[in-house]
Amino acid sequence: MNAEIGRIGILISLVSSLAAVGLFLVALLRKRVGAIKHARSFALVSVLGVAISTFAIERALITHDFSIAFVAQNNSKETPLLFSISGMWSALQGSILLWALILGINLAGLILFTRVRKFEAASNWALLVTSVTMAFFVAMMFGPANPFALTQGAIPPDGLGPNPLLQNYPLVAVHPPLLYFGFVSITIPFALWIGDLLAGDRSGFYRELARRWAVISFSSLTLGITLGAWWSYQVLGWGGFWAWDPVENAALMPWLFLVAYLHSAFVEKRAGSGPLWSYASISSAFVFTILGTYFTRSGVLQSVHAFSSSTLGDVLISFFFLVCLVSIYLGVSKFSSLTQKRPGSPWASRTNLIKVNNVVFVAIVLIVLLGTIFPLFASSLFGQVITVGAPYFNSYVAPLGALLLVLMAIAPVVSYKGLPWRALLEKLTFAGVVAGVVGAVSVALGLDRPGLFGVFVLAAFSASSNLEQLAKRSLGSGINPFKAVLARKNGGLLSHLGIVMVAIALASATSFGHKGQIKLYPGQNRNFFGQNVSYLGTKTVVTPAETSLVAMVTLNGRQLMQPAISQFGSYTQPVGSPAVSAGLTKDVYLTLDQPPTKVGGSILVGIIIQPMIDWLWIGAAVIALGGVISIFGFRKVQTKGRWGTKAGSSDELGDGTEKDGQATDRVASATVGTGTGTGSAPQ
Amino acid sequence: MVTSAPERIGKVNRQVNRQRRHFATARALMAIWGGIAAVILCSFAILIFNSATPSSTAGRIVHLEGEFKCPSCIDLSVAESSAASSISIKTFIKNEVAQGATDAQIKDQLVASYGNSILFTPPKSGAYLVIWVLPFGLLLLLGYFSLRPILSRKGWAQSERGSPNDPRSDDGTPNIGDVSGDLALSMIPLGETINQPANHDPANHDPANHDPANHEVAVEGAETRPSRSSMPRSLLALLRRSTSTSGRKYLAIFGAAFCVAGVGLGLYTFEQSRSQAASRALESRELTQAIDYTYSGQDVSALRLLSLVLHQDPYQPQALAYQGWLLFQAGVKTKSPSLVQKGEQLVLDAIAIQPRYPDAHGFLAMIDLYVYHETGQAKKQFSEFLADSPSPTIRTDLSAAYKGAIAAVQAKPATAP
Amino acid sequence: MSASIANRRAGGTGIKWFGALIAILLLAFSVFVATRTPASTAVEPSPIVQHVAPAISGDTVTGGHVALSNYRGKFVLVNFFASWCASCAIEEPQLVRFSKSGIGKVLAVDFQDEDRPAIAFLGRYGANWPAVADPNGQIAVKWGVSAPPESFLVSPSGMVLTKIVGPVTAKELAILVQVAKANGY
Repeated sequence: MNAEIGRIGILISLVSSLAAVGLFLVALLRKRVGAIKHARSFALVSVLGVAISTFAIERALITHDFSIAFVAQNNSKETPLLFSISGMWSALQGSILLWALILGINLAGLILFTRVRKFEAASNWALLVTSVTMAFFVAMMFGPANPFALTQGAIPPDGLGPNPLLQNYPLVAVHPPLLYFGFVSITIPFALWIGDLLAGDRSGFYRELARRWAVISFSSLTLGITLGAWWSYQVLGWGGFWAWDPVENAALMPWLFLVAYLHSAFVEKRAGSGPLWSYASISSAFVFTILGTYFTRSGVLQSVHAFSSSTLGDVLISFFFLVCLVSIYLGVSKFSSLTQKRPGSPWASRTNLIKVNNVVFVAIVLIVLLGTIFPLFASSLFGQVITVGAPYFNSYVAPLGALLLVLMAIAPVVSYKGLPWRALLEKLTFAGVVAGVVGAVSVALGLDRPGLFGVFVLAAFSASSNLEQLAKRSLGSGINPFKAVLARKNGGLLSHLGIVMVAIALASATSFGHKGQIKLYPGQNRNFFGQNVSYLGTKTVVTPAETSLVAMVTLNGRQLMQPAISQFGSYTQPVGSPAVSAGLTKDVYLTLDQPPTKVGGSILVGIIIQPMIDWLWIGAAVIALGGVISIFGFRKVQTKGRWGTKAGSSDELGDGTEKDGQATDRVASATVGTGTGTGSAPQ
Repeated sequence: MVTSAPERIGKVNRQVNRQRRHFATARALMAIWGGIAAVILCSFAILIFNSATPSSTAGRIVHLEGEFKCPSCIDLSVAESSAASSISIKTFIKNEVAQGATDAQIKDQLVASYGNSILFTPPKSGAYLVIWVLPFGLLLLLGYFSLRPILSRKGWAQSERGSPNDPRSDDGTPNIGDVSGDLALSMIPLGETINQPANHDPANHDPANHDPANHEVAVEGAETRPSRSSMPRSLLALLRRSTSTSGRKYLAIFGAAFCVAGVGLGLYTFEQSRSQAASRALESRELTQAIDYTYSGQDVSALRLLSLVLHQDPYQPQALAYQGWLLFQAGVKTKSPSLVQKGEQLVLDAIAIQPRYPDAHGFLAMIDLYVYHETGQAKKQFSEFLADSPSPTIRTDLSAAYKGAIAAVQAKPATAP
Repeated sequence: MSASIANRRAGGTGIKWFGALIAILLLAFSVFVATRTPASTAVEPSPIVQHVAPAISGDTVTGGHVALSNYRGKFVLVNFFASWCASCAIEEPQLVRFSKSGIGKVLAVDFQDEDRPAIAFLGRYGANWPAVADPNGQIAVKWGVSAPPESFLVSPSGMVLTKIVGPVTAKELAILVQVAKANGY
């Protein structure tokens, strides 16, 4: 029953998304205005179809309907409800369905937001692009990645259950949907840009909508990636959170492009510079989401995350190339409208700094990409299996990250037109003093690692510069300080502060940590770098889904910690569950490395002390919050900033108002029919 | 010329005063930033001086562990993993280091048995050099092509029109260009710019007036010049072009900032790999083995292992305490006061490093009893030993010995040696 | 490249060539990755294969002494196992069958394990071959062992002929020995 409902949903979705594609094409190319209404309806129906399929797969998972092969492989009667629900994205086919569902939500959103502009060519081009993507993913489920394939032969009495690592910690229910949302929703800004370019739209509406959409993608991708890191930290038991795994990199690369896009979209909006950077970075972000999906689903790269290798690889890489081709073609053919003759500005102008910033981001992406795919080249060209591990990435990305810290300190204080060096120094005096003090204090306190010194000094510089700006903009303006700080224009500054927190957390956690193993007999306690660990005994906990051997250990005589080794259902491989005592200054991370071999025997406890690591999660949350604030924050507050009086060169970051000359809300000039062929003259 | 001499003087004075104020702020700024730079450089120098201790064996081991991939894991180095294969390789590295093998020899041996796949990063030799060099190439290319417009445009505008971007602060503070002639020249050393065009227009000083239109014309003009695309537009040419303006200062500031950031973070990543140096040797297999040997009476084997541990980490408190305890016992047996003393010192060292290390307190209690016949002191030490709850075997072993010793001391009145 | 940059403001042919170049590079990349085999199947051959076998000489779990060099003249399967390893238990009956067939000898290495459980483990399957204790895994490091079970077929002249990762089967081993004999080992 579930299988039938699900298949019908996919069929409905496939047919109607293809119909939508066709009708949008008719409307745009044949200039049939009447087709638009139907095209939009069909697009909505395709979303409905995917929703039906999702309902079916969830129903099957929750009711343990093992007649569906996917359910039999990723669910068992003992699986708790939460992990039954999350079972949908614990294997390939279901994850494609989740992808389609989230794309569907975005598609519906786009239809909603452009409903008053339904006769403009740009909105319909954007919907066409989204519908094509939708049709592609639904077609994959119709063919090679069918989540509703029936179990071959007799229906098993019980299923295999999800992978042990995917039923070990509740974050698995949150991390993939958020990550996917960030990932998939990049489709919309990309589609809007395509629409904007093809229709030669001049209202600026689509670019602004794309920017805001991308901010939401950015926030949820930030959270998604961070929750993934957190999950890895809480589940995998090595105390780390980022391993430069190909799949992690696949999520990081679009994020980097998104950040580059948001910055250049800002310059474009504020200083009216040519949108080439914006277009290039948003289309790259989209292209890299497809490439990332390819890496995850094809199995060409060795990864902890890789789904079982499948036949989807060829289809995905073809789609990747198709998207690349379209993006490049549009970029080339609309090149003149993407570049503008702009007056030069002195070195220290925000325009230039953001350009440098974007170059750094692109450089990081290319280096990460190189490191990710190099094993493929090595195995083909030299016939050797080699690893490109974390030290490679760290050695290149860390210095570039430091450069970003510097840029992040300077850019918010300069205007788009630029500052002479003296004024620049004057504005950075406070930050410089703080950086100097932090440097001196950290050395006085005994810091003896040059790299850390660099990070701390630069982080202090960046943080104080951004904080000063935040204070200047929001305090003393007579407005409720809470509202003033959470004003839209402060979103960027908040995100910068989040980045600083992340930088400090990364540097501290990887440098001041202690790692070791302790052998403990029952009743014994040991000290490890100031942490007193005492071992009380073990207990065995049996739930329907798992059998765990739990070591009861008290930390510093107070807190009971329970690192465990669990064995899930029919999976023979036991899985460790670390116990973490989290704190703002440090985490103490315990793993049960060796259970006792006999009653009253000793256990081996792995202990890791990670200073400041919680600031990584907090910082990431602040980054995401900054994004959300810049769209949904309080409206503009009046400030008497130094730059407030200058027309057109306000130094606000993240302001969502549409007061630019070019963004005036004007009646659409490019309606269906007229907009398609025009060569979109430069502004 | 109807202005009187005093008036002229007054005017000049006013100009001079304005200029002085201006320089006062400029000097203050210079002083502050000079101070900041000095503080940072001094701290950095102190830091380098502090960190200039020779790298420890333990640090070397941790560094080596980070260079090999855990053979049975994905994405993890030997250092990060506690898989059986990683433990074997950790032991192997430790043994080889103790036997005096060089890093290269250790690497060669592991590659000989596992192949290149044991390396956590590609080797920095042969064809693999590509992946190490390519990022630099990418950075150069990207930097050159993307930033060239920024660099060249400025230079262009200037060579075409003098200086359209007046270097001046936003709040309308006049710059040195305000004062013409001798005054300006006298200020060269402080260095804003002396190359202001002769037709410099005072009206242009209002920043609001500093209009983009003017600007636009300049650049537009520049762009129509055929030689705009002429190559090469090298860094040198850029430097030369910007000598006439304040551009060089920006270049210098940015260059310096990038260099500092690059060098600092380069060192950081370089250092990072040795980060967990001190902690790793704490619970080595050798140590636990040595402790087991101690309690099973195999003193020679125990001492051999302990010296191995202390060779890798000279301040390992447990090893120090046990070495001291063994030496003390040997001293008592052979009636050698020097050995007894040495043993006591080692136990005290261990307590100094790790004050709440129970075993060391237990040893100290015994030493107090045997050497000084001090029951009070010994009792205190022994209660510390018990309070920190050592492992049960050690507790029973030492408690028995302690009770015996107490009885012996009380039977025979105290006679300090 | 330079031409494209020079022309790009005019939107001239340079940028078209540049676009075409990027597209061709991307096509090459796509074709390249699409034609790769999945990473999980990529296994680097063990570097000790076709080399003289690293020495094994040491105490067995039962307290005796054994050396690989004593086995010259016979095919030997050097089998790395551990009592804590789940798939070793799957493999053990196959090893017993191979040992009984008399095609070759088995020399086991007890990887990172304690003696008593290992004796119990071997006893459970009636395995009567010597098992060298390797509690620190140092023999395993010399042989490039990642995770037990891993086995190496050593020729009568003491050369490593092949490495088998994961459980072996008696049939597979018999074939391997046959092939080795046919190749003159």
